[in-house]
Amino acid sequence: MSSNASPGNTPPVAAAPKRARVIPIAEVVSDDGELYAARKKIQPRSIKGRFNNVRWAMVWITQLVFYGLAWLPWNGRQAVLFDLLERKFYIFGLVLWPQDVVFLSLLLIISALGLFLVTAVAGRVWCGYACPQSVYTEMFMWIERRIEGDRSARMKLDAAPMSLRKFSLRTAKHGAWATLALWTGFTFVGYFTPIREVAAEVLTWSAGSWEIFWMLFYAAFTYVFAGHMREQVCKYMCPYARFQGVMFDPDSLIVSYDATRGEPRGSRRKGQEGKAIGDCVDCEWCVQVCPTGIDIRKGLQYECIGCALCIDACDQVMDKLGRPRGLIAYSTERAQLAGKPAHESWREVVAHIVRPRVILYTSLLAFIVSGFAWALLTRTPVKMNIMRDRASLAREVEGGKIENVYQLRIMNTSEAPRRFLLEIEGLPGAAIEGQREIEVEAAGSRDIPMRVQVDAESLTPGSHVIYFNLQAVDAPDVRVHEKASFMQPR
Amino acid sequence: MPGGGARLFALVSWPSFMVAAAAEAVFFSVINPQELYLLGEPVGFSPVATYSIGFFAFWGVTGASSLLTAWLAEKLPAR
Ligand code: SF4
Ligand code: SF4
Repeated sequence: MSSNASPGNTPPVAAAPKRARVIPIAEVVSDDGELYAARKKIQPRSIKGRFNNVRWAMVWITQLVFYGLAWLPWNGRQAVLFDLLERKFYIFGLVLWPQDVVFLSLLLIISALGLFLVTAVAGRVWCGYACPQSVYTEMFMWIERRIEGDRSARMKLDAAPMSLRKFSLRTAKHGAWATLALWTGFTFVGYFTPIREVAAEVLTWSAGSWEIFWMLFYAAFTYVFAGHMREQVCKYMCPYARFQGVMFDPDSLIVSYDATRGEPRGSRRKGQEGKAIGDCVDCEWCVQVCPTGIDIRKGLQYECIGCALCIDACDQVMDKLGRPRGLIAYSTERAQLAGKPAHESWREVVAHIVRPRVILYTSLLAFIVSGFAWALLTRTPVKMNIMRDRASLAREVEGGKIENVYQLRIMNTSEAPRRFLLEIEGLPGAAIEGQREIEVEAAGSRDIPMRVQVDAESLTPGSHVIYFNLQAVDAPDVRVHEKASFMQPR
Repeated sequence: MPGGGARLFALVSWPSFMVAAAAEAVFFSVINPQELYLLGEPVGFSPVATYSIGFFAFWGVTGASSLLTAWLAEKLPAR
């Protein structure tokens, strides 16, 4: 695609307002002024600080859950397993069958609404702290830093000609990345096939070819996204990043630079004390730590993932200078328009949180969550599918009777084996031939053929309605009532 | 983002990947792979193979559509 056909032509940098305190979230306004300009490799500097700690806490929490949960046993099986073979989803005590697809869709809707709510209140905290893209990028960057050193060392290494040292450092980095990526791919597959079985298969070199394929596929995916593409995923590929403008409003939390206090920026040289000068010393730390390589001092930009690392960087600089923190801080557009760097009193904070959009999202969310919970709690833990046996629709049997054959599939969605009693009603004189008591294992299903006979004389030719009642022996309220039809061919 | 080919690849492959994943989830949550027929015969592959092939089939279709859209968007006459 030629650059003039690309979505959202970039205004030339000069046209961007220089000192506007708030720039509405714009299309990519990058330093090179070109939406799809060749990417400048970003080598962020590492930084310590409050928000960096929060980010790392989130890395630990999310990854302990991801890598660990697959190994957690529950009632003699894997606690969370999307069993593709048996077509059953286990989420702790909850067993979902294909018939329960509505629950899964509800779960998705709940997550989406939750994301809307969080975005409206707190801006892109999802991006900065919880999105797998950010989390894996952080982990991969950590490996890179351990092996190749911090920003300046890495930039030197990039520029250096290939040497034995560079070669071994690169090999070590890519080897470590590949190991982490493979483990991630293995864990991913372990959510769809019991992970202990997969592990045993991998160790004995007997894993199925599709399992290996998906492990490698997901590993490659992780490696490329977290190792190489990084911020480009957020900038060019992520729909959420493009969509956020709709969820933002002047009360959403954003990372912003207090230009009133910071400008005019510049270093403090001796002999210039008298000059009016802002608090920003133009050390560029905020730019160097930014994983997306932007300058927050230009205002809110669409690339900013809200990781708040520039806050940590600037706070350190302000601490060193003995000036108050918060030249870069979390703020809202509304606070800034009021000429303040951030909300000051708790009243303002509450007013910022409680507003129609948030109330709307919250009540929608509450409504759907309670509906979900209600549906789950009142769910009958048994299901029955009735299929007529097509091979032998209806036939005459001994004693002048008509027989119809049905295929019943009985699914026990509870966590214990159950016995059920089958009865029919609605058709006078009809009787079940054969077994009427059926036992189904925990979270299991059983297919059984069922023959129903009626005296031929008592029925007019044609189709008749018949009901199957399935009743759990141990619990009177666990029952299903299903309709079927009975054919009298003559 | 690097040169045109890689960019086009990212723009086409990624949205189609996500849509294919969604289509796969919806399709196979309502249809059991073992009840599928291929050219009049019941599908003989293992379920995992069917799921995987299904996914790539979806991805192929959504990818073709994305590619076409990208191409059309590029050829869009300037207004
Ligand atoms: S922009 Fe998209 S990919 Fe990047 S951190 Fe945010 S949600 Fe994740
Ligand atoms: S501007 Fe600051 S908050 Fe935004 S991505 Fe860069 S470092 Fe993170």
